[in-house]
Amino acid sequence: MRIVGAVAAAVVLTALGLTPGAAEAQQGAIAGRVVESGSSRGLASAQVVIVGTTRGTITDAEGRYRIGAVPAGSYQVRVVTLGYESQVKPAEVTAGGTATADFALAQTAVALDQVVVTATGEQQRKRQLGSSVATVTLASGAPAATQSLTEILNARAPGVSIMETGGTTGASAPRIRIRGASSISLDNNPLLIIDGVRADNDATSNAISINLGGQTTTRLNDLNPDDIATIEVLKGPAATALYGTAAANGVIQVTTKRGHAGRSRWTFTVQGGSVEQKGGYPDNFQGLDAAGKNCTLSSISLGRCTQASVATYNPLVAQSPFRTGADQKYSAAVTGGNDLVTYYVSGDWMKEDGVYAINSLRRANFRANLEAQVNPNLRLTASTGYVDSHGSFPQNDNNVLGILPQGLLGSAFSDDAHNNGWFSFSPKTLFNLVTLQDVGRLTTSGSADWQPFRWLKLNAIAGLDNENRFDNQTVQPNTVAFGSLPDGSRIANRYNINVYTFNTNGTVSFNPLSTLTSATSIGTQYEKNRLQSTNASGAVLLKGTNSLNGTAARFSVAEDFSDLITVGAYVQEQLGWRDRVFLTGSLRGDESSGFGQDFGRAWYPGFSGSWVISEEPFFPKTRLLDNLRLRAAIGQSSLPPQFRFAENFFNPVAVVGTSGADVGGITVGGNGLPNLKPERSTETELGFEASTLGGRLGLDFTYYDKVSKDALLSRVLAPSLGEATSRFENIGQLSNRGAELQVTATPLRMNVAQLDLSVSGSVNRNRIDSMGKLPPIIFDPQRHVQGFPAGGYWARPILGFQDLNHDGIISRVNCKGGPQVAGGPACEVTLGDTAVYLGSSLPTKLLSLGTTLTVLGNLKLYGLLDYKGGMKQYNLTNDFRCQFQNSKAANVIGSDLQDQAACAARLLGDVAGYIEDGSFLKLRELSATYRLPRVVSQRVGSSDVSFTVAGRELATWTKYRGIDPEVIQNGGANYTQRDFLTQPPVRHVEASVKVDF
Amino acid sequence: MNAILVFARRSAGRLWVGAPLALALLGAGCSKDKLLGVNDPNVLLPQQIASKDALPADFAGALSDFQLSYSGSGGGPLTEGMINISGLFADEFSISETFPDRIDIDRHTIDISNAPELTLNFRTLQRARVSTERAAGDYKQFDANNPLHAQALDLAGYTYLMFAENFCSGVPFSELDPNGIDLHFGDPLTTTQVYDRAIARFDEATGVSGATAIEKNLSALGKARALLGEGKFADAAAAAATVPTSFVYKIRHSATTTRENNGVWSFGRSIGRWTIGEKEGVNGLPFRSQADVRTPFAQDSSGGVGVKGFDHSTPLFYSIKYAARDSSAVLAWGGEARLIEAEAALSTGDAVTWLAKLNGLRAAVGLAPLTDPGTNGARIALHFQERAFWLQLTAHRLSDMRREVKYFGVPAASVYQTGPHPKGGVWGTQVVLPIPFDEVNNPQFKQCLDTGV
Repeated sequence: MRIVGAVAAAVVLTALGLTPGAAEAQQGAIAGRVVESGSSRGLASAQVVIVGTTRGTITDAEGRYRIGAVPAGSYQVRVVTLGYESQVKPAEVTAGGTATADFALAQTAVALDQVVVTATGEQQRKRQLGSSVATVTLASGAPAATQSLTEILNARAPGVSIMETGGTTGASAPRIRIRGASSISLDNNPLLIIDGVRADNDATSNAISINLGGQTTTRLNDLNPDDIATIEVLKGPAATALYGTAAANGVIQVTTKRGHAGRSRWTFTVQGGSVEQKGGYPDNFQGLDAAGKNCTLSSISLGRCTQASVATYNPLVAQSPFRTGADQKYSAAVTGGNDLVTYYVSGDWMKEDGVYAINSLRRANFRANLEAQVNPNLRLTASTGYVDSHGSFPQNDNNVLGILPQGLLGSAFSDDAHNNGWFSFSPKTLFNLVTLQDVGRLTTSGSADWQPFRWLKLNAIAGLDNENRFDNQTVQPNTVAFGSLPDGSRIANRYNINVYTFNTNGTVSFNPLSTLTSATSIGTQYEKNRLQSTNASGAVLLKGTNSLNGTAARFSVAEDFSDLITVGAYVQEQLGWRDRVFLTGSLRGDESSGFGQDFGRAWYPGFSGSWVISEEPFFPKTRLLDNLRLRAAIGQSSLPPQFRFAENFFNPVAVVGTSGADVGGITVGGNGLPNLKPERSTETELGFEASTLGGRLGLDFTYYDKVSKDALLSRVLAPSLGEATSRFENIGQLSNRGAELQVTATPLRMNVAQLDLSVSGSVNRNRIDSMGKLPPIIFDPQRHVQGFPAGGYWARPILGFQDLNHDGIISRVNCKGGPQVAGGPACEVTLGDTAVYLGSSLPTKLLSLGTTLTVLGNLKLYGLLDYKGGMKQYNLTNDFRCQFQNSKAANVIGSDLQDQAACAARLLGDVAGYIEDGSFLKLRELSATYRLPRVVSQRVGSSDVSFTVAGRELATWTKYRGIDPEVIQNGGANYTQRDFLTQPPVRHVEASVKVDF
Repeated sequence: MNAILVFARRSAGRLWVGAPLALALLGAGCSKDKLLGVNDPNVLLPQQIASKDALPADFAGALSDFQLSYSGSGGGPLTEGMINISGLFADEFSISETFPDRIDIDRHTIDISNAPELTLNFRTLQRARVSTERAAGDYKQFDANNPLHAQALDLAGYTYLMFAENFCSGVPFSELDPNGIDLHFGDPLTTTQVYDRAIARFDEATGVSGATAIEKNLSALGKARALLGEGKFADAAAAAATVPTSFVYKIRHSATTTRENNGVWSFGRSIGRWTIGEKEGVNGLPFRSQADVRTPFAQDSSGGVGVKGFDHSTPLFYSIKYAARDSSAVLAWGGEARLIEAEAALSTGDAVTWLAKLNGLRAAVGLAPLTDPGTNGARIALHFQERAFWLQLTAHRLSDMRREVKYFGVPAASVYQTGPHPKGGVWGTQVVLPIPFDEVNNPQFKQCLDTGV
């Protein structure tokens, strides 16, 4: 295994024209071990840095570290790691010698010296930042029950809302909102940065181009979770001002693992498990009269029949289209290197078979991260990740060809006359509709950190996120009797998406006074995001072929193209006083190809302050308050107008001309304004971090106030203009105000056991402050209305219902707008006359509890509870079951009167009864990991062996009357929120073995 | 003070190194046009189509937009044209699907704030109006004598006709300023004012010197139809008199792209949203049971949706006129001129002329002649049934129902559908299409001026 390290080192050094002999003769090294105070347990992945330089490393699994090629001299070495107090120790390096600096770190709930990567490309300690940054460190791998970036983040970062919108393997894009939705009309997804370069995370470009009914794909989860070292969430403009245009929704910054100097260390992981449907699908009902004719509650109320019996059937249970899926994952990683070069190389292959026979995802990841310390002042880093994935997806949701709709809208009878209980098609038939997606994605970056003088650091990074995607679907002839599908068809859409990044930064540092530090940074950024696609389809497919070549008619071709370039430059000044007071001011200027031609440059100022007041001499030294840091920040960033937003243009179309032949014509494409400017968000943030009880209890509190002005509202154009449906104008204002609290505690800390708790909570108040006097934007039953949360639910309220005649039926007969029957029952459901606000569609309250119990140091039990509340969910599934008259509420006398009232109101044209409380509490994760005692693992030649069993999506508590309140028919949509015949999240139960050598 | 001096000296010392570095870094941002230049190969900008060379594409685009507004499309976007929407509201189509907003159209209980299909139809028709008028304007500027100048005006006139015949009184027409920025919002116009706009376009088309018989007949028939809508029966008959019965103007469709597909076929036979109406809501006409040669229909036994509609319960019958994705849709037929002449005669009580006009048309297709039913009420009913059968699924029926009530005094309850609706509830009281909610984005517009016939 050492050979791998030697080969990697040789390759890099040769490429650089260097050999080990090139190292300066007057150099030495610093080495040592970092352990936990008390237990002397080695701390893995602790960051070790030489203060004032860019030099550093991380500790290995046993807590050892080594920094080579250090010029002889005196240094201060700092060690930081999450959950422990940082330490600084001196090290005297002599030529050819190795200075030893060992550290014993005490646990603490607040880590002020934890480092984060900033927009300048440099690392800073949290104490230097005036804004809140949530950090998830995966020192010993991803949480056991998680399999993706978003699952790792979910419920672990206060203020970050992640809705796991469905359970289709590979095609249930989560909805992520950080501190609420920042924009009314633009994409609210955060910016994604991987190892310093922009990665594609646009909801539109990420979505599969072939209709699945609502489900959609995301590229956010392409990363292998085991490759992630840290995830940092910068939550808003107060923290992202230096990121400028496009950062208003926050930034998710992922850093992948780096190599450790030393011998090659291998990690092998094997994981397998089951993927299960959680169930809960309702029966179908049909009331019948004595003659066996349909007799629903509606018909009874109208006096048309007398119910004699009720038939029930549940095709989703009796002829279950589901299977228990399975997943497997095999991964290997090796890390090592020497004083000059370190490497981290990994590969993983996974497959997951979902709960439908045609639903699966196969994915292989490869990563190679290299770092070369070319000389004491210059470090080069290369980071490359490649993913190759193949997804196979079913149809569902808002889709007559969806699998779940066939059962949920089906019949209460199982005979042939009723299509065996299915609505139109059996799932077996629909399994012929398979949509495939192949992705090859390369995300690579190279950076150089050069420190020619101790006071000057220069940094440059260049990167590319290249995605080649192939969405395709073949429908063989005469497999699905709907529309033109019996002819057979083929769709083949190819996408090429490239995101280019090139950043430079220079930082000048010096101490104007012995107690004052100054760091001045100047930098530039260039980002280019280009999408090109060719979409083709044909029909009348030659049976057995699986290519456009096999189609004989109705050929269609189209291209799509978009290009958005942003260039920016910034300057930042940071002053530090006695390492406990920090003031930072910054200004960034951007220009973008998306801005209107009449708009110039956008400027984004930022200012922040941080004060570690507990380190002041006047601060009382008490065990009741070990640490206290106060912080404040204000900053601006924006979302840019997208491609063509500022253009008036026409689209070419084919048309049958006057001669009868197809000719080219033009039709209105878009109406843009030349003065369009970015949507600017300003955020003010105040907060503190504190720890008490000897570091056993930590608090991290933040209050924020974020206002998006010049909001790029997609203004609906009056149809009478005869132009585009809408155009973007800078006319709105949206605000989010809220608070976040994270409490970390270690209520039990003994040799035999330790209990760690982490509670995260946040509240958010979202309001549209202004819509520029425009009328509401309606996407029924949701609306954007001034003075109310964006995308809130609106409907005529159900003012009351009562079974006046005690017949067990809530009747709409003789209600306003309902059927009028002389002598019939009085109206039993009362509706308001106008639509009123019923609630937010986005969660306004987040709360999570993560509990870790470590027993005898080897057994770790973990549980994660996740609460999301304060929002409504539109139960369009039950709404449709009412309209299709196959629900219990539509057929069973004496069934739940609230359900009946909802259905009666629906038949009167009102959906209020189906806009339900969407709050839920989920047992999101549960895991147990047992680590073999070292003496045992060493007997099998391993340095570390661990076994894990884990479960995800284990239990749900909710008042919601549908199947799962978390589902979203289309997770990629900006606001549209509805449960519409959607596959709910599935349960994973996993077992894994991890072995280190 | 010393500290400040030290600070200044050290700062100055660093600046001479730092400043060039900063300049170098910022240098990358100087060449703005190069750095920010993007191209866009997929679309055309206004300046690219402002020439005589662009006129054919201009007209073709207008024709395409008109096609969408009249007979719909199968995609790009999937659109229900006026044949679809007015036929669904009237008794030509019955609902065989599940979408609530389409059920509302069929049931006459349209909620304007939740009517995406109607909104798209209204928007598409407005877009066709603007496209045809833009094409006409461009021809006037670059090639005024071209017959397509007249044809573009005619098509614009037909868009106004469809607004007047199908929507409530109060339709506004707004304009985007040629600068592409300013929005000029129009006031709601009465139905008569909208008809007058149509007539103005037809008159203007007639004045184009290069207009051929196609354009002239299209203008004359359109004008006659507008005058009929205004209740000016004699003027309508006079305008129609020049149009030969053999004249036909079709909106063509193609199988080449989904946008060119026939929307009536797409929403009907292809995906079964609507079935051919049969005595819908008591007062509806017997489009199937009459087995009339003018209203041919069929039912698939297999293939396509098959025997049942999208809702999997309503029997699906499709019109043989729209049996394929490339079926053409008749926009104007000379026989309608004779029907207008017949109606003018009926309005004056001239039953002989009226019957002769109807039977003249019937004889041409081998139908037995009608006999005079003897009473005015029966003649009116027969007249409008004849029109309905001749002009089935050409976006005439709703305006006929309105005229039958408005000018011939037949109670709406005897013309429009009534009673229990097959999808629940009862038929509502709407007698015209309302203007969708999105129009409130026009500050000049509030609601329909009049929701009656």
